[in-house]
Amino acid sequence: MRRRDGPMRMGLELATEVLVRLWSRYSPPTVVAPTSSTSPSDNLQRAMNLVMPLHVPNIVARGRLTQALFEATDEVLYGLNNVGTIHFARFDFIGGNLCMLSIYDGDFTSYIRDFIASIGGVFDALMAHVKDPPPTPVVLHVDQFIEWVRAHDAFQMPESPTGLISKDLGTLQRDTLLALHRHPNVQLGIYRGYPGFSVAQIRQHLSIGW
Amino acid sequence: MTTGAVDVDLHRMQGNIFRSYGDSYRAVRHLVLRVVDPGSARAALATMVDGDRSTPDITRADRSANAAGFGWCLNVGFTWRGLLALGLPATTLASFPPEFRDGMVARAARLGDVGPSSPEHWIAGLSDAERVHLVVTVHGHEHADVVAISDQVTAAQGGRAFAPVDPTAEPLDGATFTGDGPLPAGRGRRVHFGYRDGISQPRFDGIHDDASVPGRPFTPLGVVLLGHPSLLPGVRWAVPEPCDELGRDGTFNAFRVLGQDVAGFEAFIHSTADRVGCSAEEVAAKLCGRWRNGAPLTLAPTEVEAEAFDDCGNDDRLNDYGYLDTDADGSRCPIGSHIRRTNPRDAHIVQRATNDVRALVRRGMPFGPAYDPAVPEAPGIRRGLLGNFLCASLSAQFEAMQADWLNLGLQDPRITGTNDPLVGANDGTTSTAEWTTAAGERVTVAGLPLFVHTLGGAYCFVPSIRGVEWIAGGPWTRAIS
Repeated sequence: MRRRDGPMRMGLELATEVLVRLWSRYSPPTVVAPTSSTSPSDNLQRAMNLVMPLHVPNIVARGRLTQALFEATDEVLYGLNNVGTIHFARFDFIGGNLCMLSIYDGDFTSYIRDFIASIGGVFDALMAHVKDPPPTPVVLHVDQFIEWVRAHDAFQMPESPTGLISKDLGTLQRDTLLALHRHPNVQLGIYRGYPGFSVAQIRQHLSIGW
Repeated sequence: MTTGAVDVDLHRMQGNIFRSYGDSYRAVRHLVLRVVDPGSARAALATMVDGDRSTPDITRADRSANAAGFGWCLNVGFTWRGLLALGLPATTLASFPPEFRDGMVARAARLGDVGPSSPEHWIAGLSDAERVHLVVTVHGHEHADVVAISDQVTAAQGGRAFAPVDPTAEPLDGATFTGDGPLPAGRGRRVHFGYRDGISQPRFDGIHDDASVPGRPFTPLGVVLLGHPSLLPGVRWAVPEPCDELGRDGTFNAFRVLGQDVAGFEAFIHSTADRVGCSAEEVAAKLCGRWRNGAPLTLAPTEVEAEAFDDCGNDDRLNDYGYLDTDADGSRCPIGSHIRRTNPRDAHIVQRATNDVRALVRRGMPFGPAYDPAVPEAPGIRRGLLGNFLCASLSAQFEAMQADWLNLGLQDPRITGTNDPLVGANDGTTSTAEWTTAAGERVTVAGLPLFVHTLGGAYCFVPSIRGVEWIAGGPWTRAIS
């Protein structure tokens, strides 16, 4: 039985791959960045997983980027604090990518725009090391930078299961497969220890200024 | 005419951007049109900028609204679908910002246009976003003026240029009214809820009088005009290409048809007043941030003090204040009130650098009959506001205001999670508002109903006169003729 299962499973997987490729030719692209919700609490503590493939992902290039970020530490910390809506933000190397992972409040494009205004110069420096970068300086190409970030934000599965079910339950698997086909980087879920609170509300409660 | 202080030629700009027609004209009609034949439509547009008054011309910014011989003013805005229908080159179409290309219907969730405000419930003519190509706005001294000019627009080029998107739709007609009879000259206009309107508008350096008004610093042109520096440090918004011929000195308009539940509003302020133990006028003031005569709560925290503003004809007096020194805790003007959300002035806010960045130029007129509680109404009567919200970036200004400030309260942790009490996407079962009464008591009101809902709208590009000329007959048209 096992010997027959193997080829059958491989055949099924192959058929699925072919089927998903066909579907993807006729289905509209899935949304990448979080979309606005009708519930105010859903618009707080949102994730951005910006995955920026490095132009040359070798150790020297990563060393230069590390140095550039260290030298800009004060500017980055001041700038992110000035945005006012960021819970956490960090830069990581993951594989051949530089990643900026953050949790923020409010509208996605407002968040990106505000941090461009605060630390746009830092991103100009980073873009020199990134594959297929947007035009720089980013402050003069705001819309293009926002769209570039949106395209490089890891696809986030909707937090409500119904978010991927556009018509009926039968479309769930199809849309999930299409999303996974289109987006190599995917955030599958997020846990919040204190849902529905903005960073400013927490800072106010802790009396550390907002 | 080029102004002395700024780099802008008012003769080459459309009117109603820097100065409001609503102060001079009593009537307005917004024509929601589609392009019938692109060549005829471009020919009709060419006649609108040729200076020949035998056909309606677009009104330029340097023409006084009271100029002799002009009973009307006319302006044009194009949707992205409209520019596509007119045949503009792909490179030009691609140079517009994403939110404009998407259109207002596609951005509904971000704007809070959900539930009763969702596009599926919009009025005929605006719900069919694919066919909304341009919005022509005609102001006139009398209703007959706007009807006559509107008819000329739709009859242009033998009717082959433009046609109503939905010929069966009710005309979008508005009219100035002043609440309790004609308002004395210079004392402002009213909206259906009874508030004095149009008080706090941006004042532009080189355009408006340079008299110092402490509460109203000058606003850079880039807040509303494309091709000029914005208020975000170093940031310039993308200008549609070709920049000099089409984009520069244009602006974007979020055109909105907003229904207002005046009966529900009046019932709410009276029932809340009974519960709280104050006057209905005080409840109305706490929701808005101003008394209905326009007096700001920060300057006039009591009804008696507000009466001193009854005769206020110069709106500078109504704007000479900030929040930081006199009302930081919102005990006078609630932090969640309408005017404080939309214009935080000098108050400390979460997004440190954005106090003034989201400013909008607002141009609007009421539509529908004035509400009279003594007169029983037939069901289905609509009233509200025909609003134009002008800005250089729909995403950074209009949408950011709607998404983060009006419908989330992100700018201050004391109101985060609540919606604007007047215009927010409130739900009568869950929405709340808080304020401190004039007597000093803290009040939380649950069950805040939806007072304003969206009946329709469209994102429009309002080009300069030069931009209209380029659309009508620029070099690009030779390639398609």
